[in-house]
Amino acid sequence: VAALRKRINQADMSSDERDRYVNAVLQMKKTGYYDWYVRTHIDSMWMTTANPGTMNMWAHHRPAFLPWHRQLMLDFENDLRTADTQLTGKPSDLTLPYWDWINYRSKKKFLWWGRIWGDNFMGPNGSGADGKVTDGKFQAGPGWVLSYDPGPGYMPFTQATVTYLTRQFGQDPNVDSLPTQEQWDAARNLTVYDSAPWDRWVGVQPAPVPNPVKFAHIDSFRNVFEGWVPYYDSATALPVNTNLHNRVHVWVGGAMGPMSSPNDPVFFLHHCNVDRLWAQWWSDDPSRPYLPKDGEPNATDPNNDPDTTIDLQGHHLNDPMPPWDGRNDPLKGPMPVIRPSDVLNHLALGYGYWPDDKVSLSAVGVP
Amino acid sequence: MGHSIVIHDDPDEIAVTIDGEPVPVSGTAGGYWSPLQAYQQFASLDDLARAVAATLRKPAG
Repeated sequence: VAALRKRINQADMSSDERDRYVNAVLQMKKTGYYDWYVRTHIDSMWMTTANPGTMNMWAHHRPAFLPWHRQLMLDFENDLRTADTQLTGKPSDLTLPYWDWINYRSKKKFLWWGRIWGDNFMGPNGSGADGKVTDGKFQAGPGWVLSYDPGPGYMPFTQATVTYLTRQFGQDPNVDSLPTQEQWDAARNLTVYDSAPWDRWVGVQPAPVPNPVKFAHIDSFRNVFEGWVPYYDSATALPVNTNLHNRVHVWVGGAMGPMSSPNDPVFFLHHCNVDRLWAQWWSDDPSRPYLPKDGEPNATDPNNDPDTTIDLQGHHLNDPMPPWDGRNDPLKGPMPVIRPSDVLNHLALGYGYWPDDKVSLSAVGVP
Repeated sequence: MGHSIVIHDDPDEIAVTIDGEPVPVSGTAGGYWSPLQAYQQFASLDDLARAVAATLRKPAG
């Protein structure tokens, strides 16, 4: 019970906690463990399961999007603790902080804004034509060199041609703001985790779509939360495209845009918040099942995404999720077998969000 | 009577004008996805053709 990890809002971190976090991230970069996450995230779009050649893993656009990233965050937190111990010589209690991009979204809330993008934490916005980050701990220079980008076409592991961090806050003309509370509330109201055809087209209909509005009646919390479903504030409003999870990636811009997005350390604070919001949805009614259940047949989607057949291997409740499928990883060695069913209850994994899980944490003795 | 159709495809996003007026093009079916812009979807040529056709069919004025 005492070992339950408390993940807090980055805005509530002390200066010392921010320093320790950044130093551990920089240490992971030196040891090569940080870039394992960049590479694994890119690889998730091509990675095959135990039956090679039968599928792409698709840790995005598919049901396993949320459980796959939950395990990625948990592994990162564990490696962060190892790095912290390497630096301090003591057992580490570091946890991932989350960036609550709904409630700390405005530059007017300068206090909170300044903390996350301060030189001693995630560093500032980029500048110049390509958004080069030139200040802070992750500025262009020998301490933060990008090793991987998604490369041209679908070729993974192409050496990055831009080797420094880039950011372009709100520069995309269609994504000049972060997600809103209303959009999250509309997503949270959905009751079905996912449904056929299980891809990024679930719930998407030709525009203009006056109905449904506010995501109502869409049977895919996952696809809405991932951000592929247009949001209509009213029957007459123009749709807001690129929502929630996706919208934050695009809003930060630069290195957060392609599949190599973990190159920006804010990726982990963003996905910690994604994980936290999923935990909120799950906590609303833990009896809601993860879908697809075992044995669910593959689906057909006429949208060709890029294949007509949507292969559900790796996405069923009890399918191993690559790379957590027992494979021997060159850096990490034998990987554990992790299935969506293993990670549905975040509290059972040994961590909680503060203050969201305050009641639950108090019940098990965490002050 | 002819029309002027301009397709602007930079950066990675299709912007279309017909006779100087912007035409909304949204990715409704078969839109493409790119690992270089991994968190957005873009309109396909089918979407573009539909938008252009719908605009040209509208009566003038």
